[in-house]
Amino acid sequence: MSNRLRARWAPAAIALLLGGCALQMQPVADFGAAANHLATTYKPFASGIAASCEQRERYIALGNAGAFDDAVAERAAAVRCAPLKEAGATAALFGQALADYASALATVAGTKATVFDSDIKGVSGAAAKLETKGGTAIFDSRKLGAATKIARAAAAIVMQEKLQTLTRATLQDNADALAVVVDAMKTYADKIYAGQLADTRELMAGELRRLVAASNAPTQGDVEARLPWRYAQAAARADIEANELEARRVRDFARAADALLAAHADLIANFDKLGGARRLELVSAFVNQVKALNDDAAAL
Amino acid sequence: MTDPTASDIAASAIAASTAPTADDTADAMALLADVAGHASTVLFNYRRDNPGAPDLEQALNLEMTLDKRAIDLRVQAVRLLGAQAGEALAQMKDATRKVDDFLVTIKAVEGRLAVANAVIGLTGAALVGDAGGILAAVVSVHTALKSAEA
Repeated sequence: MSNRLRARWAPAAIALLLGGCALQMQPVADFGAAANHLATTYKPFASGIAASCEQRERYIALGNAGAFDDAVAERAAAVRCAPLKEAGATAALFGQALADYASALATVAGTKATVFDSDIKGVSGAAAKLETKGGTAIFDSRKLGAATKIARAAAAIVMQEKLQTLTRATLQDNADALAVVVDAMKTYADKIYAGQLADTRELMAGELRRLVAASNAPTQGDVEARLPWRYAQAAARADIEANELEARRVRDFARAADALLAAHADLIANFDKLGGARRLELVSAFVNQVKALNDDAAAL
Repeated sequence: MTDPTASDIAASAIAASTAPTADDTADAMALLADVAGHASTVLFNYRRDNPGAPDLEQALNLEMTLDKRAIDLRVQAVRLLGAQAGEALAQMKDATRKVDDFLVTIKAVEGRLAVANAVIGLTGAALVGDAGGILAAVVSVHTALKSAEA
């Protein structure tokens, strides 16, 4: 190979290597970021079950005979639902595990720039010391720039290989554990938490129905006495709407959790195929589902 | 057909939400909790809609029993999930720790190694402006680092 040909080939080969590495790790980074966001979406579910239980108990107290003190009812509700608060702390562990795992993946996939930037500073510093010797320039700026670029490439190749090895092992070794944890999150959200929300919603709906009935004023003279029921309707309706929104989030979460597992499996299956379109599609589908969760929350 | 009494409602709900066995899944417990919770709500509505009913006190007691049962069943379901996922949680935590450890190591040791070797090999190549030499230096640095890893 002639010197001229080699001169052209070298930067191109390194660029190809670096470009290829970046492309391969990008879906892992996207997956990690989206999975981390999904864990964030799940987080309120953990504390939500006790909150929903307390809300239900407060509504029950409103319908009981005898003296009524709102503060007392609130405290009693908290005591009655305390076991669910503890259970919610357990449920939160699932989300924390997913968040940590997802962050680790996103970090290991996206470490390239951070790690290499640090290394590049080292190269630049060392090269800068060599730049002059006794006040005389050793390298011209063009050659120095080339040396820095190539050093960066050398470090990138080595680091990237190690990162890819770790990423592949992390994905493969934890597929089963991830499935167990995500299934636990789904069961908690879709079966247990959703059941509590439904219980609370059903009770509130009954109360709203009674408020509407009690608001009826046969004559103008009856209106004044009915105003408290009429005003109370707005608060009950808002409580029901908030409950319905949370139930919808839970359903959306369950769908996104399915997409998460599919994307994770596909990352493993196609890890060696640079730029594999199918892998990108499934990861993109998952990322889009998580984005949709965000849009729903924004619509509040 | 007469409307079911509070006792009828409660009896059917309590029968349906009998205490789960060790073999029950979290899903099954959640379902039992739903049955108990729903029955409790039916009793609540019965009380509210029939303030003159003769069995209000009994309805309230049964309602509260079922309400508590729903809470307990949901708590048990979550505990069961936690127990089942315990090993998986530990494994994922370990994986996270390994990644963190790796990143610390890579920055502390091998980053310096890679840079030092790259600088030594490549400054010479850049000095003579030989692209082929630069590429050869890159390969040798790569090889040296691979050896260092082993």
